[in-house]
Amino acid sequence: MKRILIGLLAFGLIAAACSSDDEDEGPVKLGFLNGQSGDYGPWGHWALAAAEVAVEELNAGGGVLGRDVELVVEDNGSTPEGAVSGFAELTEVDGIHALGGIESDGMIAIFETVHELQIPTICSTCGTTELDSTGGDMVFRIIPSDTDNGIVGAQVARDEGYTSVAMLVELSEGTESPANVFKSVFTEQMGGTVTEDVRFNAGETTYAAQVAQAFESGPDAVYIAAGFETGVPLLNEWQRRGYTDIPMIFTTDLLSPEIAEIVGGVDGASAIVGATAYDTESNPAWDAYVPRFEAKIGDPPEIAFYDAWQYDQYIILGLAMAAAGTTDGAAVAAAIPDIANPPGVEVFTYADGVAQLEAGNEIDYHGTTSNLNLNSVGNLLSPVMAVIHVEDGAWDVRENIELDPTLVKPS
Amino acid sequence: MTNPIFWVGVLTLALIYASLAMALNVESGWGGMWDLGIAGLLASGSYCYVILTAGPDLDMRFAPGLSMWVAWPLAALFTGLVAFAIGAPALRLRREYFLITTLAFAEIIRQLVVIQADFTRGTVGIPNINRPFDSFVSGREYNYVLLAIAAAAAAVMYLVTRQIGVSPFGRTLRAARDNEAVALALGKRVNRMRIQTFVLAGVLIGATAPVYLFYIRAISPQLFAPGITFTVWTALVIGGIGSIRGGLAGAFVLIVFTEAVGLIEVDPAHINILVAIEPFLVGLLLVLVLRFRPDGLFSERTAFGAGGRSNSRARDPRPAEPAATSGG
Repeated sequence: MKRILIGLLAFGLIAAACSSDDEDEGPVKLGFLNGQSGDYGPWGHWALAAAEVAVEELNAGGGVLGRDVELVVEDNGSTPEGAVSGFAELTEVDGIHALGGIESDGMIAIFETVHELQIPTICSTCGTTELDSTGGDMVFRIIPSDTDNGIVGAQVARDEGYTSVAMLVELSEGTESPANVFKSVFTEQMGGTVTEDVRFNAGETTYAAQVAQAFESGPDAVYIAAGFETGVPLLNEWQRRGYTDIPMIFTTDLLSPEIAEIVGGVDGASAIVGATAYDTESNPAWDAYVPRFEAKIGDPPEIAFYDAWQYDQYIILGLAMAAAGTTDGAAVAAAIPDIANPPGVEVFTYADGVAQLEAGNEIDYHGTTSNLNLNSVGNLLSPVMAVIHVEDGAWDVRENIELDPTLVKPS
Repeated sequence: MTNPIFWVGVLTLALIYASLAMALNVESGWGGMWDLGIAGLLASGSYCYVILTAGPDLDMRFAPGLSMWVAWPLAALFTGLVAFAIGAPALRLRREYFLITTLAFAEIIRQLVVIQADFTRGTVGIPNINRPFDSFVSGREYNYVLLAIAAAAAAVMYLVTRQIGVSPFGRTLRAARDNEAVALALGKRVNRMRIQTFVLAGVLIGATAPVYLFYIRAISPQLFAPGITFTVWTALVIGGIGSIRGGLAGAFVLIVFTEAVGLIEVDPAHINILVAIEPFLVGLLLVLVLRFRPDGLFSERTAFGAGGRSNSRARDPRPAEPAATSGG
């Protein structure tokens, strides 16, 4: 035991002898802490490609504060433990100046540490309801929350004239949160009925019983909240059992091409998604982003892969640093609402934003996903939502919609 | 160069896994009960601690807001009770049946946490776990406090498990593992002893749970996936199943090695290669250890002297097969 303790002490002394980098020189380091492996792995490739497109734009625009920008990537394994150790590596080893890319459960784990270390953090894929009221100082969210997604799902059900739904909900934070909001709004504020609320785990051998339970409960429609990896076997079961005459309402995670092909391949079947969407209408930021993303990855952007939010977050961070004139965490965090919200000259690219700042003007950055205006707790003021249908085996955005202001967020 | 705070964090995590591996060693190394339910027991202790210390702001059905110093031992005791509830039926089963049953119980516990959202906040989880002394020390410096807490917990775990290992109870436990028929013939109540050991390991894991939460700072069911069980087992195998120091050494080697691999710098475009190679390298480490030191870095033989383990047993690390069982 004594030898082990001596070894530990020696190890600590050697580690202590190693000095940290000077963080005020060299490149500006933007951390990308994301699940490149594990449950979020399927999204990782797309997310990283979008982040790289953003950093390439920052460097093409002269860098940040005249310094090159470096994207420092860390895999969190899609686990809270991986997020904690990955964040420690990004901050203590790499010396990042700001952070992006993190998902809900990892964000919750590092939330307090982010504030303690004053690392400006933008959460581009965090739907968690935990951030509905706790951000705004150091943590900002530029994607609609699970609360928004639940409300818009209920709104779509109401607008389609459904008075009863059955629910099929995967047991995970990202699917249960919007589903619980949907249920609350649909039943308590719209007077609807939930004929059956079926919850299930990912990775089950078969979903026959769950599908039968939901579809045979006599609903007007079935609300399905699941990840797309679970959605595929679930819908295969739906197809096999012939419940194709009952319409379905999906959550955003099911907006993948595979799902559209399954539903579109069945005569008479219909699926509708009230979903988070990208801001694609007459948006120069979107128009500039799409070809660069396609050139990087070989595919167009997909809402279900959340790539464009990953892009927007780094443009915001770059502009906030330019506006603050420093990489100091507190100053950059304070500048984020300033460059994202009016008043100011509306800009759509990093280079335009920097040019306006250098001209002494205030700016209002409009990203690929929305106008990115933030409220006092760092959440989107007006998230872009859309009604999306399956059309000829592909997703078709019918119309962008606003959240009904008469619907109250459940407490 | 690397900031020492980073390595302080790595050492802290290594000490937490060392504590879990030493607890596992008592039941699996000496008791021969190959438990794949570590994650479930850790979840039990963690949620018990969090619920007991939760305040009214979290909007949970039961939130007594107890002091962490009261909740900590209660979490250990509760985990012992959970271990008893699992062990009573599971220890009637043999080898792989016991193993798979404990894995199933761990998953049941995780699902209970998900389903009982009124008490646990379900899949949303609970953020901002209170940590001892954080009103006195905060920010980066708290990492040193956490290291001290984890080191103290690991030291207590080492002393307790060492005492068990060299006690008559520990010797009988190993004897029953190696030859149950002889232990029974000598009048030893082997089944009762195994349940006691399983519960004791539960208490030890439950006592470690709050330290793990102090490190993570939030809790959710995703935290207690089976991966944590396999990490603890890998640490114990590397260190040496049955040895007193094995869990400690194995956890250090495994965690430090894993984090060191993560320090390899690659171009972002090639991060997927590094991500793929990390588990491969950890697996390679395990293979190399097993190839050149089949008993692990520390063997049970050296821990307890020549009489500590029979030669046949040392070469055959299969789990014990209880004699007085009804099968599985």
